[in-house]
Amino acid sequence: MEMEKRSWSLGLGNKAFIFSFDAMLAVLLVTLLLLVGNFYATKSSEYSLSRLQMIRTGSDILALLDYDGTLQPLSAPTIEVGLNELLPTSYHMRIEIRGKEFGPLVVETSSETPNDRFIGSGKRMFNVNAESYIARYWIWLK
Amino acid sequence: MAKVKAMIFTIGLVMLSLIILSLAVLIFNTFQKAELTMSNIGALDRIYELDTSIQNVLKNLFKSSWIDLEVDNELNLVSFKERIPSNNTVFNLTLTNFKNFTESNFDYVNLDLDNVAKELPLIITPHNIGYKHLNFGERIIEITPASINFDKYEIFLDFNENIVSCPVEYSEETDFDTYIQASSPAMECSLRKIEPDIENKVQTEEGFVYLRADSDGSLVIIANDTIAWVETKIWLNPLTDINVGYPDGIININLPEIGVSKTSSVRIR
Repeated sequence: MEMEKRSWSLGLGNKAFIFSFDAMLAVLLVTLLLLVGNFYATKSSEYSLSRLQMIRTGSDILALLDYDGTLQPLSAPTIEVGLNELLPTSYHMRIEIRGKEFGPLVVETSSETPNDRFIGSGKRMFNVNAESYIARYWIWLK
Repeated sequence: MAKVKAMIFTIGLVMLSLIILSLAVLIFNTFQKAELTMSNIGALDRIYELDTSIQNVLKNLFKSSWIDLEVDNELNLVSFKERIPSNNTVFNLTLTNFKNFTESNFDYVNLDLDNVAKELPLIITPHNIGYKHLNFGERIIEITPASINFDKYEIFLDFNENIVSCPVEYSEETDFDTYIQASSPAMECSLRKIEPDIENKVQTEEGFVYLRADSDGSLVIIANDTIAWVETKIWLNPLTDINVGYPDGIININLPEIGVSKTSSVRIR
């Protein structure tokens, strides 16, 4: 028993053991914190990617509406039909068209704009004969 | 011995802590860079979207120039059909309105359309052949190739008044050929090759059209005291993806705060 006690203390008491144990715990804690931090950083990065994806979805929809001539009549019902055909079910979108002496013409799939989530937006130009217009979109998750 | 062991152990722990801290700094930096990259990609997407939409509008507005432009990649043929003197009023007004509207809504966009309104310069790529007007709205069309990388020109003229005389036919061998055909209500000039480096005239009751094809490949067409519908066909050497557009530097987008500057042209056909 006496021998065992001596081997634990190594002639220095048990201070070294407690110090080592404390240090190991501290390293473990820091490592854990870093892992958790890294996890949230990765999650946040994925979040940015999904936001970018959302903006690109809105941009593609508006470009399609422009190229297939749906924006040309400058008519809200026509644009609404086109928008409902193209917009994925998980999104809401609003399109606003302004010209030099026109608008705003607003087409939206939801009249309520949320304050608690990310809203992607963008702009493009288009023309109807000699007149030019700016179409702006906002897109968000339902 | 115990002291040495304790020292090695402490050094080991210090090293481990340093490695962990370095990793933390590395992860933090990577995360920050990823965030910045994402935000830059978003900004570049917006610029690209605006740029392509402006290009599309300018391409559509070209219709108001009343130049009928055709590109046939199978036949290696580009054809321009227009009336000279051309009516540039609507085209210039449309361009000015578009420029003012765009620049007033996007202060980081600059449209350099002065030369387009003045000369309506078009570039055939990849051959690098210029087709422009010396003062669009007036009477001169000028074609300037960078080299003789085409086979021949064919010019078809049409007049309201009668033709009085046709250019003399030329039969000698040349680096490239220039053919002309002209029609009017009562008389026509059949398709014929014309002599290079001299003035070739199609005389009408009211005026004349002057054509000069120089040995360097350039061609000038001038309508004097007459109105002519001019169709110019350029038979090109075979190259892929023949297209016609405005010269470079028409659209300038500059966002110094994110270090992005973009200059682009407009492909019309």
